[in-house]
Amino acid sequence: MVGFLLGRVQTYHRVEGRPDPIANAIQSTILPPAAGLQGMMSGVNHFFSGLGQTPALQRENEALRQRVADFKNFEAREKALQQQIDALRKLSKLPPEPDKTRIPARVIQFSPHEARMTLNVGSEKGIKPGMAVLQGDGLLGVISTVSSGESQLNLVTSTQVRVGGMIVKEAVAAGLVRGQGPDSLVLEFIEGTVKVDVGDIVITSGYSKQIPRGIPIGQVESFEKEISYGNRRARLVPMARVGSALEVYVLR
Amino acid sequence: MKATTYIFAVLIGLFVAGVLQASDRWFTVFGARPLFILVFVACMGMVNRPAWGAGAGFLAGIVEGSLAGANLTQYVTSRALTGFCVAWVRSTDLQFGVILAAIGTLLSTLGANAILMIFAPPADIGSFIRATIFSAMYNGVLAMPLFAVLQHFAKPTKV
Repeated sequence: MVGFLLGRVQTYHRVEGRPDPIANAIQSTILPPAAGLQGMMSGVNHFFSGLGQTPALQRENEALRQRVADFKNFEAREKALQQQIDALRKLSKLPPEPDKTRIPARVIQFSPHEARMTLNVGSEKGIKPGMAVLQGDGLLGVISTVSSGESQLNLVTSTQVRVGGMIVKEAVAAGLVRGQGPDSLVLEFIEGTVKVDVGDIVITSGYSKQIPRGIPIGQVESFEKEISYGNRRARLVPMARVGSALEVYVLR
Repeated sequence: MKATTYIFAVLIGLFVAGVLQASDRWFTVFGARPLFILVFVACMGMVNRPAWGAGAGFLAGIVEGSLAGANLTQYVTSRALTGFCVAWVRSTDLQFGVILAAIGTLLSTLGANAILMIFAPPADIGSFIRATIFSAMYNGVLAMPLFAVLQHFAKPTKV
């Protein structure tokens, strides 16, 4: 009888659209501690599943430690190389980059066929089209498009890129550097008097607001004189190693 | 068992059983879900007189029905009848031991859910019966330690 009455009370409240007081009271008493118990059981479960995965976790930990050690080695090597570059710059009497800030960036996409890379910095860092991108101290490319959080650069080896370049010796041999393929550049000289040797370093001429003078572009691999057109050109090996470009700098 | 001890034991026992049953996903073994509240009702029936067994079943029905969000009449009736029947069997001079308690709990789980099935036929009867059989076996195992504890603290009273 009492059970039947309880059922009637329950049905009455449900029909009225109100919560059933009896079930509500029971649930309010039992469900909170049950939730606590479930949380505790979940913790115990995680503990035991963690014990079961110990060998795998140890292997993963070992691999991560190895990666940290590799990264530290890489950092130390990069620092040593940077010091070497600085020393070479002083020896070559290359001018520092005036009024420019190096914005570190990470390469997040590389399209070798289009000679284009995407960087993880964009307009929020003040990046603008035309800015130079360096790998180490060598010119890697020129920013072409910028959006928020990302920017794209055309590699210096891209046929779309033209950069003023020069060889500084006893006299200046200036010209225009353009890309000719994945690992080849050409410097077409404007003037035809200065002697050029294999091994000469070509730097940016600085006849641009955004690309300062003195950034190494490439090294002369061969030199030729086109008698029919009357101009001289040098084939260059780019200073930047495109295939290994992961961390770069944008000159802002 | 004294009336005050009985009421105290029923309230505490139902609270604990309810909490465990609401967390039953952690106790599910090979798809078998334990019905802690029914285990408690069966074991209480095995150490009490029929009226008290029915009383424990009645309260257990309210708790279980509330937790299930189901109609209380069906749960209260099925659990009260189960508690009464188990206690009545004990009152016939049958001496429950741990093994017999396990078998009794298994049978009472089957019986309680059979009554529930008659009052409120489930949509998929086959699945319900299969789940009840697995739960009954699980309950039988769970009843052994519980009965041992209850038997230790509450000497069975003769009717």
